[in-house]
Amino acid sequence: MYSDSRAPVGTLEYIRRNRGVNACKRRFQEIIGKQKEAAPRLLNDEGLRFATLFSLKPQIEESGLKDGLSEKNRAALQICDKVLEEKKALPGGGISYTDENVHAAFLWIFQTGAENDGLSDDYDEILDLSASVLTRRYRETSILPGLAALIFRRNRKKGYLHDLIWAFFQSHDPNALRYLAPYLRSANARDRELAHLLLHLPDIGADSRRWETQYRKFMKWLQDNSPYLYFTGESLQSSNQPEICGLDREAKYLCKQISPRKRTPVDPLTSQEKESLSCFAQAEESEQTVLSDYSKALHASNPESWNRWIHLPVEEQLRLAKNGTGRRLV
Amino acid sequence: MIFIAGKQITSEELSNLTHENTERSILSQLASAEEKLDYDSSEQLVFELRLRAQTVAAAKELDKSGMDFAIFRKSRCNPDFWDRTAEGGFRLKSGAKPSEAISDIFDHGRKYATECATAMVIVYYRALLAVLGADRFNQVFPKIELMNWHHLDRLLRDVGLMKKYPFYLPGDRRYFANPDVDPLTPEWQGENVIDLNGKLYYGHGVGIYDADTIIRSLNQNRIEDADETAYLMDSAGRPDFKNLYRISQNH
Repeated sequence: MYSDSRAPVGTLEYIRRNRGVNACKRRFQEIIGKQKEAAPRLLNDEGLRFATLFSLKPQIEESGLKDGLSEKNRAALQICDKVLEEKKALPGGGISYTDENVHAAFLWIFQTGAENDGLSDDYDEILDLSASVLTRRYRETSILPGLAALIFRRNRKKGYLHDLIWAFFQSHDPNALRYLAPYLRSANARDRELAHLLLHLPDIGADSRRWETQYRKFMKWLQDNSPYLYFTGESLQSSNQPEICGLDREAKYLCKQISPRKRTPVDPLTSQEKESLSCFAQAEESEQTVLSDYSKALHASNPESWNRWIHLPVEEQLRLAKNGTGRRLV
Repeated sequence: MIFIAGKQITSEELSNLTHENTERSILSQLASAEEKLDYDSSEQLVFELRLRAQTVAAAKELDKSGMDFAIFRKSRCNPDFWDRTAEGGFRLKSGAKPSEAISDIFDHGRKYATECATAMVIVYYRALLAVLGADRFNQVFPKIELMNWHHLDRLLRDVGLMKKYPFYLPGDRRYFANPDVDPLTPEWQGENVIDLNGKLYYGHGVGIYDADTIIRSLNQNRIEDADETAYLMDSAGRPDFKNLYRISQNH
């Protein structure tokens, strides 16, 4: 929707992008002086991006142009004021989140604004908090690829990242990890370092073939385990090596999807499943790994066999699992 | 149960180890633990008691210092001792003495503003300064960067690493998580705290309160449809006391 980076010659958007913010402000001041009635129309232009509206915000307010703005633009300015308030009134903070224009404004801020990350501290804070509102409040997963890209871009510039990273994981979507994984094989060392931190994986050295292997292994692991992943509550605010996403071995053993946010089964457990889990709980940790991995693989390849296997005594399950996978217990 | 060089310590030996109140209280908790706690020497044990007690003292001192709460984007520091980094952290200024720079935060708190995790790191540096003395502290920590749990000196790395322990003690760093925080106020996503006595906790920006009060503060900053309360995580960041003791002995 906002992917077209071109802007018609002469528009405020064109001037900002080609001649800079100050030239844009000067031109806007001329327009206010000579044809004030034309100013709202220029601001409401569909091609206008958030960076331009943000840059002109003081002049818009000083000239009393707010009332002529589109609802989306008015909502965007309200969001800016809210984010930059010294002490935010809570909860909700006076923003009508159920208003479609407000939702659209948050989305527009992030989608058109991310390319100008670094415009100012205030601008970046608005971007960061818009991202967190979109992922947490609106469950807007469409921004996750762009959000991942912004995190790594800003990381290269050594800027403040933690709120953006927090916003990314507020999606509570294990599949979102696939947007971080490609940076495991990046030629840029800062990219790899951050990807290792966020995915809780070890640094594997300077050999690029190993980066590719680590990426492929991770993607396979994600594919196999995503229904059983949950968010632990750890974050960069609480730890220097957070394990943000964990694998629920019980869920994998039962092949039962869990809520990634609450770590509870999506469908309630049956009495048979509860019984299976009580047997599973008696196994050693290394045995639980073997059992859950085998269970998942068997369930995918042969559901009938799995149905027989899951009802066997756990010792028998383990014997078959060890034979079936060829793995030995340590 | 405390074992020193493989031998369980007697109650008489315990009573002679320290006479300072906070240290005695920590010692009593260690001695009554069901787990076997091994130390190489009584000096090593006393070092841990001292560092824990000084951590508690430093937390109380920082609470009274006047240092403001601010998110990283709006953090501030005294430029006589620190350079503010692009991320909002504080890096020791070239030529500044580490001991004086840390002390300045406590002496001129109003010149500083940061968030709760960085405050925890400041507390540990202050405690180490008290235990090691200025000369040794300056040798051990010639470069300091204060930015929550990141860019931490390797000697303090364990403070930033959350682990589950069988029990928790004064001087531990704990974390209250707030999973349903309002997304417009990420600064309320959780609170890093220092355990002062098992009942009271110091959190920068919150103050010194019990767990229920801190949880209530966090809950007041949740999203409207919140269905999860804030809670104290069953884990702690804990300095590597034995390694720090070894460092303290290497003159």
